[in-house]
Amino acid sequence: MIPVTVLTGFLGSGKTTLLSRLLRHREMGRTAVIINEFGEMGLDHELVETSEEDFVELTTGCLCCRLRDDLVLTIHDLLTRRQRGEVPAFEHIVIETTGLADPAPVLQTLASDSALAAALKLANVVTTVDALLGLGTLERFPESSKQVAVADRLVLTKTDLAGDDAQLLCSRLRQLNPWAPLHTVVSGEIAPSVLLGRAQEAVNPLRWLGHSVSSGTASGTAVPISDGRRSAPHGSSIHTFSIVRETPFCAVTLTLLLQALSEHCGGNLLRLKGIVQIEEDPERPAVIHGVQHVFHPPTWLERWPGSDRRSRLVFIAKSIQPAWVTALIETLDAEVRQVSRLQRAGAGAVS
Amino acid sequence: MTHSNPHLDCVNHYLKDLLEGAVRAWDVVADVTVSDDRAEAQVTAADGVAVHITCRPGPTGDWQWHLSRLNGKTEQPRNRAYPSVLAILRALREELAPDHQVYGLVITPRSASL
Repeated sequence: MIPVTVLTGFLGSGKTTLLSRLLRHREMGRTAVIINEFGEMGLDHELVETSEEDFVELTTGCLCCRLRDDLVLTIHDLLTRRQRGEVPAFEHIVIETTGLADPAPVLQTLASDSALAAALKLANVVTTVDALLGLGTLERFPESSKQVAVADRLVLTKTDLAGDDAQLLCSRLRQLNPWAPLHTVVSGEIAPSVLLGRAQEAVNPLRWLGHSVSSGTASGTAVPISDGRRSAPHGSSIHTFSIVRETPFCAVTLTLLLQALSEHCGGNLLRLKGIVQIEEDPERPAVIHGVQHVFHPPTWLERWPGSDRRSRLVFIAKSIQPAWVTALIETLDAEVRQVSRLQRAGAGAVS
Repeated sequence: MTHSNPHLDCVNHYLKDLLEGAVRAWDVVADVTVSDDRAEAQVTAADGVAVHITCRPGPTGDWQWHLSRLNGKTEQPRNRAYPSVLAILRALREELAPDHQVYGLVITPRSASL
């Protein structure tokens, strides 16, 4: 499994500079780089020093819009050439998106191609944010908010130029994404581990959950957490919220919930991660993870990581209300249980 | 409460949030009013489309959702029955947001790649 980092960030936020500097590190030596540039003529690749055979440029389109098939073909080609020994045996892939890219479709593309899913694992989504202009960009461009919202790591660039808005920017970033570690670039230098990350850390939703529900209120039913970490309504309709549920989910309820979320708001569900107690196997929590309408089969942990056995779902979404998710969960669960009761009663009558 | 069916009690309790959240997810501006003591609601969209929804108990512990499209005070002969929450939400979406993009749930082949 080759880890993949998606490097995103708005136009001019310093993605290419960051990548260029990081590629000078020895730890990044076995990294294949795919740069997506928007425009008839790409320039960013000229600014990145890397071995030519490990480098691919995708131009005249945006990964999140027109080039998703190209991305799949490009990675397939890279993997094939790696297997044949035509390129060095790279151990990591970095995909730099355009500054205007919505990263969610890119993640979805990586997940939904069966061959890629078998060969790759997402290590990190790293988003650069310009400390000088970032606040205004977040207010004006929804793409920028999405890039921040789905990040596993945020990198604040141009901090030496930042003005009085820096604190406001950090607050806004925390509203959009409460759990991603915020790294600051100092004199253009940052450790490669920020980009490379550790795959398990990024994939593991427990890291999100630890942040988002640590002070969650226990309840007998599903409750959205209103702890001030949800985003303000102005500027962007992207927000984050958590649902905590003490009652275990029927497995069917969980499936129906994912189906309903996908069907009615797939495009607005930027990311969903969760740890869920399933009634049929309560000792082994199920970890779920999805981007838009694409979900993985649950990963089953051997045991609960702590004493808290509540189901916890963390959403990054647009136009999805926590109360609706709660209502969906509860009505679906009630329906499933009622059907089960009727079936048992019917079986009893027959016997 | 006029019924003690836990399923219908739950529907009654969450019906407003269920419908309000759905229309919001479809980017439809609509007013949702619900009955205090029955699983019954009316959804009136800004464009004038009005829909009446109920979830009624059946004789053997089952239930059925019903959706009727209203035209002013005249109920159109389109009263249809639906068996589940998902089905009634689909029907409501067809009435209020027929052009809303619908996605199918995709489960990836493996669990570690996303």
